[in-house]
Amino acid sequence: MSTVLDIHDLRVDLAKTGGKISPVGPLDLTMEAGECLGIVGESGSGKSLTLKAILDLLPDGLARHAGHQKVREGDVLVERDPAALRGRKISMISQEPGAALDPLMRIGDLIAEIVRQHSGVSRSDAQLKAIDLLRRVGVPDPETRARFWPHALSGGLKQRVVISMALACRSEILLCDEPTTALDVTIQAQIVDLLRDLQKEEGLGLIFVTHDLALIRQIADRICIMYAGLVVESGPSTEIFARPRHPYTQALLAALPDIEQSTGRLVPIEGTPPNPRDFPVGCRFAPRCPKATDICLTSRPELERSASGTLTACFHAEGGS
Amino acid sequence: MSAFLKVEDLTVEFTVGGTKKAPAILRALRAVSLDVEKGSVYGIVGESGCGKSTLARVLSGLTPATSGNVLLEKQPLSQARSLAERRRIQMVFQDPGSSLNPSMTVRRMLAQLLIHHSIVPRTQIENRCQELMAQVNMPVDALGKKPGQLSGGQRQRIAIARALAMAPEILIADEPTAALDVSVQASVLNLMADLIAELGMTMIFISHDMAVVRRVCDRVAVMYLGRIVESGPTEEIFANPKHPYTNALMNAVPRLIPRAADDYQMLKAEQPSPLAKIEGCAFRGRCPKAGDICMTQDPALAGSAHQVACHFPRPPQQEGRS
Repeated sequence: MSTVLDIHDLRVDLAKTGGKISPVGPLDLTMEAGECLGIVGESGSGKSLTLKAILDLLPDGLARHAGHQKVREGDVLVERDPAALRGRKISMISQEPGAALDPLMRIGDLIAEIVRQHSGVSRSDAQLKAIDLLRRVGVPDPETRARFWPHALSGGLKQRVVISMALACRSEILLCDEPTTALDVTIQAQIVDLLRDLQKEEGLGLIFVTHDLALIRQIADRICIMYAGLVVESGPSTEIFARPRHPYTQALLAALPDIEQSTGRLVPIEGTPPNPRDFPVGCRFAPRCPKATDICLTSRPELERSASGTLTACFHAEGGS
Repeated sequence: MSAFLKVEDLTVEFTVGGTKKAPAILRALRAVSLDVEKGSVYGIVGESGCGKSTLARVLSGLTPATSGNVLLEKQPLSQARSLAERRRIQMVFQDPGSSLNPSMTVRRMLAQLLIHHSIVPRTQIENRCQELMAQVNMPVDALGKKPGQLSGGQRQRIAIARALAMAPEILIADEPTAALDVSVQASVLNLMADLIAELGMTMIFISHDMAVVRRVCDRVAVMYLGRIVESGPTEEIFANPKHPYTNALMNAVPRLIPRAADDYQMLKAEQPSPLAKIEGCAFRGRCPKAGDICMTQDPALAGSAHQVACHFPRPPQQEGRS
C-alpha cells in the first residue's frame, strides 16, 4: 500500500479571529491508495468542514490552514494547492446532488463538457463517453437519460450523475459528504454498492463522511471518529467497532439502535457538544465523559497508538498502555 | 378485542396539475385499513413517497380523506373535527424547528393551548406547565425560553410536551427523531417509551428507520406506494418478513454487526411515481419474484394477525436470523 494523500496540521479557523478560534483541528489525515476512509461524527463535529477544507471549499468567514497537504504523483508525494486538486485528482459529491447539476443543461451535455475539459476530445466523442460514464454508474437506459434535464431525475439518479462527473474528471479520490443522507435506504444501498464497486474496479479512493455508524461500518476500511473538531479515535474499521477505546466512541455505539436488537434501553450521551467559541481547554469531551478526572479538564490528550493499531486521544482509554 | 382506532379503506388523492379534463392525480393512500389497539405502539414504515406522512396527517385531521373512514372507539371522526375530537389525537412532527413558533416562549405556547382547550383552570396553568416540563425531563426555566435558544433534542421535548398538554389518547409521531443526532435520538426515544408506559397512551409511530421501529413498536405496517403491503406483530415481521419488499427493506439497512451470508438481493430501480397508473402489484417492477399474475392482479392484504399482500409470499424461515 502506498500513501496517496497526506495532510498534516489541517485547521479551519474563523477568519475574523485570526486563527484564535478553530472549529476544526489541528488534525492529520492520511489515505492509502484505493482505500475508503470514513469520518464519523455528530452534527457540529466538524466532519464536513474537514472534508471541504481538503479542497478549500469552505464557506465564507472560515479560513483553511494546513501544515502541508501532499498527494501522490507517480512515485513521490508532492505538496499541492487545493485549487490544483479540485475537480482533477480529487472530486467531491455532497448530500444534495441537485446543487452540483446545472439546471439548464441536459445531463449528457454536462458530463460531455467535463470530458472535453479534461481530455480535449471532439464533441461527438465526448457525448459517447458521457453515455458510457452514465452506464458505468448504473443509470438505466443511458442514451435516453443523457437527454434529460436534472430536474427530471430522482435523488438517487442525480447522485449517480454526480458520481459520473467525478469519473469524467478522472479523479483518483472522491470526497463523499453524506452522499446518501437524503436517500431512502434501498437507494442508499444501491449508491453504496456503486461506490464500493468503483473503489474495487477503478481503484477510486474514498473519503466518506457520515453521521451513520452502521453505514460507515459497512463501507469504510479505516475510520476516524471526530468530536468537537478533533479526531478522538481512528484505526481499522473492524477494530474500532470490535474494541472501541475512546469513551465517546463507546457512548455513540451505546446510543445507536441496531436493527438486530429489539430490547434493551438505549443510552443517550448527556449534555451537548461544545460551541467552537468555548471549547474546553482540556479534553473537549470531558464535560460529558463519565470517566473524566482532573487531568482531563486541564490538559488535552494526544492521539496515542494502542497495541491493536488504533489511535486514541484519551487519558483513560480502555485497555490503555 | 375491538380496535381503539380503526382506519377503513382510507384513500387520499391529490390533484397536482394536468388539465381540467385530464387532471394529474397523485394517489397518496390507496385503500389503507388499520386496527390499532388501545395502549399499543403501532409503527408505520416505508420509504419517502409511500404515503406514511399523509396517513398521519389524515389521522390527526390535517388532511381530508378522499374516501374511507377513521373511527375512534367506533365513532367516526368527522372531517371538521370538534375541539374535543382534536384534543384526543395529537401529533409530534419531524422538525421541531419549524413546528414550534419561534417568537413564543415555551410558557406562552403551552399556556395558549391550555386556555384554548380549557384543560385546567387559569390559576393552575403555571403548575401544569411545570408538570409538563418535568414529564419531558426539561428544567423549569426552559419555560421562559424561545425555540431558538434550545437545542434540537430539547425542542423535540417541547414539541412532545405541547402534545401532552392536551392529555391526548393517541399520539402520532411523524419521524420524531429523524432530525436528531444518535446521542440525542436515544434520549428522545427513551422518553417516548416512558411516557407511553406511564400515561397508557396509544401511539402511531411513523419512521423510515427500521432499527428504531423494531425497538419502539408493538405492531408494524409496511407501506409501499400508498398501500400497506405487510402488517403484523413487530417481532414476527422482523423475524419472518413475508413480503419481498419488507425483506429487501430490512436487508438494505446497514448493520453494526455484519452478517456472514445472506439471501439479500438488492432492489433494482426505484419506487415508481405515485402519479402513474398502476396495474397489478405496485412493487412488481422491482420485485425479484414477480410473475405473470403480478402484472395484472393487485394482491389483496390477506391473513389474520400477520397480513401480507403478495402473490408469492416468502415461506417461513427455518433458522432464526441472528
